[in-house]
Amino acid sequence: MFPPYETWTLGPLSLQTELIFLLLTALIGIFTFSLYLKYIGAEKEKDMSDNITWAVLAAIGVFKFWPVITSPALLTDPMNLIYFTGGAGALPAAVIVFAGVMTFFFFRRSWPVVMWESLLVSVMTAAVVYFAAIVFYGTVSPLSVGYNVNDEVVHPVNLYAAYLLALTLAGLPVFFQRRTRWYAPLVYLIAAAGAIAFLLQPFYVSS
Amino acid sequence: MNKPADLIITQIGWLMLYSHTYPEVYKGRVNVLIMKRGLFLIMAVSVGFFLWLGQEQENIDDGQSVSYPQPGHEAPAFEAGAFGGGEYSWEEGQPAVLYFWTSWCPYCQASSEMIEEAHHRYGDEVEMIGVNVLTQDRQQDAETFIRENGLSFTNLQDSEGAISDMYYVPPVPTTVFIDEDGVISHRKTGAIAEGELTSEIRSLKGGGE
Repeated sequence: MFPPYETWTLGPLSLQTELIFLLLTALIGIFTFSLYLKYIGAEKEKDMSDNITWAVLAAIGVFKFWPVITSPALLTDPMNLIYFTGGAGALPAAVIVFAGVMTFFFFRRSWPVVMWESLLVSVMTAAVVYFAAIVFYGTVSPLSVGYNVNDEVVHPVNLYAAYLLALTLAGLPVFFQRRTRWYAPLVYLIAAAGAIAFLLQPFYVSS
Repeated sequence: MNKPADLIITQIGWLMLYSHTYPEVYKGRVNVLIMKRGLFLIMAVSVGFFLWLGQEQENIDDGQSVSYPQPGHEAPAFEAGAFGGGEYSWEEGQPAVLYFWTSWCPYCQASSEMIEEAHHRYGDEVEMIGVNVLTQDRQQDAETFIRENGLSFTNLQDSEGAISDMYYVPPVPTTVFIDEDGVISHRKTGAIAEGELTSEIRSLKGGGE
């Protein structure tokens, strides 16, 4: 596991582990989306797999150019397009754009509803990898097991999240083998995501 | 047939007949059933454990974070010599923006202008503290950078890289926002634009103009 702000130096480039794993998990998400659609034998699997890449690229583009989108005056110096990235509201905007592009294709190309299930599975799989790799220190723990920071034991929040998400994903093929109701896996995944957020909320540090 | 014992005996009879006639199918279904129940049990125990742990967490004091350069945690304390002479020691009590830079980095050039503007606008309420990462820079170049860009906020010389190490820098520029309780509210790696800087400084001030 790696601290989020640790850097890996490749020649002149200094890359933060957090950024490297964000990019890696984006790739894992796209790969899992395609793989899961094949696994459940979804219709229009090829079309869906191809177009998720566009949605991811659109989201990355919005995140990258968010400072210029919100402050067009920065364009007076074109180098600012390279210098500035992200900022307040950039991540929610990127997520909204991603969801918007997927929704557009969903209606326009009459994709099956199972696309949303596959999307949730791929996001959760990517999150398992991310949380298993990147350290997040939580609040001071009453247990003797956890991360040791300055002689204090703190909750290993990333490991809690990775464990609960992996458990949720493991339940999918076991509980929904027959797939008699199309919405059941989707409801299960959404409910599990909500439950995980609720269960882990006491251990996060709030800024 | 209404008694529970009769029902169980009938069920066992059917199971024996079924398992004898279709041994492979029976074995598969039993395995699935065991897996379902096993996984459900693990999930129930996990939920119970985290609910219990959450309850235990409420019994601990509010001072729950540790000193670590991640939003939500206490900002590590530091002291260093300032450009222009004198020692500087940071203590919590006033909101601060900690800004790590080097003279050779073009992203720092872009950010430094924003920080200087913010210093003129909000300097009375929020302290801007520049930290030159001297382990990655030369003192003479840093002094030229300060002079040419007209930086008037406090700039420190991190000669041994102690502050940079504590805050996981490089990469530069890195900007860390610290509230009046000494807790990190936001951290930005890379050049910071005016919109983000202003928004974070306003939240340090409690949302005012």
